[in-house]
Amino acid sequence: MTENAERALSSLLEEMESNPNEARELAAARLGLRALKALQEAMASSGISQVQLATSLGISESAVSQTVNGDGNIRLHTFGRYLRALGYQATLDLVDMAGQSIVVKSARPKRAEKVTPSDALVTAAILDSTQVTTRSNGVELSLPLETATHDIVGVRVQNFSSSRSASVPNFALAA
Amino acid sequence: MTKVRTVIIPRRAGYEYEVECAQMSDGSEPANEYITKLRSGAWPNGYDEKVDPDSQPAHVIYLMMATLQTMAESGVPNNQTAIKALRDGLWEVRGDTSRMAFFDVDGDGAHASKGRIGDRRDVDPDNKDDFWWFPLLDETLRLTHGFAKTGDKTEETDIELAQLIRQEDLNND
Repeated sequence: MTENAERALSSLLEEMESNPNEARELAAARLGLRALKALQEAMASSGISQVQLATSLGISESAVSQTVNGDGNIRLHTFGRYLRALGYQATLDLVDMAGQSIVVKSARPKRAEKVTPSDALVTAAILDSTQVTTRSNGVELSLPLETATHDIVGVRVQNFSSSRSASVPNFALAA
Repeated sequence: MTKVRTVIIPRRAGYEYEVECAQMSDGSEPANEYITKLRSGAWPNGYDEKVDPDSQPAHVIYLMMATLQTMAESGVPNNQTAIKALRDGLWEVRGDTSRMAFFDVDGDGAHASKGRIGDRRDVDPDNKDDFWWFPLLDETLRLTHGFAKTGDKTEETDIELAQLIRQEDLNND
């Protein structure tokens, strides 16, 4: 094993990362520095001076200076206020330790689609026939005239898509 | 005989810098001693959730580590105030109330003094980043020692100590 390879296995940074307490501190420091960088970038891009920012926020220039030139350990609300005064806003993204993005999904299903005027036009066309048949992914539904309007809408929004992953554009109408 | 210095951040593919501790002629590493002292004081009795980590003396170490890691990975500091040029090719990395001085060496262990660039017109026109004032240092950064911030300007004694440590380190390379 080369000297460099031996070194790579025993750096101080890796030692810290392997200790849960120190790893948390490193993560906190990185996030703070990232926030500070964003703040400094916002100031540079906006062209707003520390004096102007202090006036806008109603605080002293020294307070602004301490924040902008500090270590990044600023309160989230303060961060939000400063950015807004500079004409920016921040967004937060979560990634796991492997760097993979975490998408937080809403647990509540989306509201079912309402019948729109265009749906009504489709329905009117159907009403001129004696029977409606939809086919998709091997599933065929034949509906009597009197229930066609209701069921077509229902199939489209709920049954078709949820039970067999069929999509609306695939359905065919037959007289 | 090649000295084995304590590696802070190893050189990896795609990294701009590696970071290690400078060594004095007796083999001691003041930077490593400073880091160890702060780390050992972080949680003397184990992790205590009642104590705000930000009030722990050690938190400055993690700030400086995070800055050094950014520099190692990207070649530039995280923000405009994270590092500062001292003089005579010495720089300091800053973390709240603490500082650590450093200098750069090339692959042969030689040092050539590089200070802050004072005029943007002296910079490669293709370099459009906000850190135009930060020169391209040689690939290894060596920390000399750590010290507490006492005022706006770094104490002369700390600059002189950094020079001494650098001299001994280079003499023994």
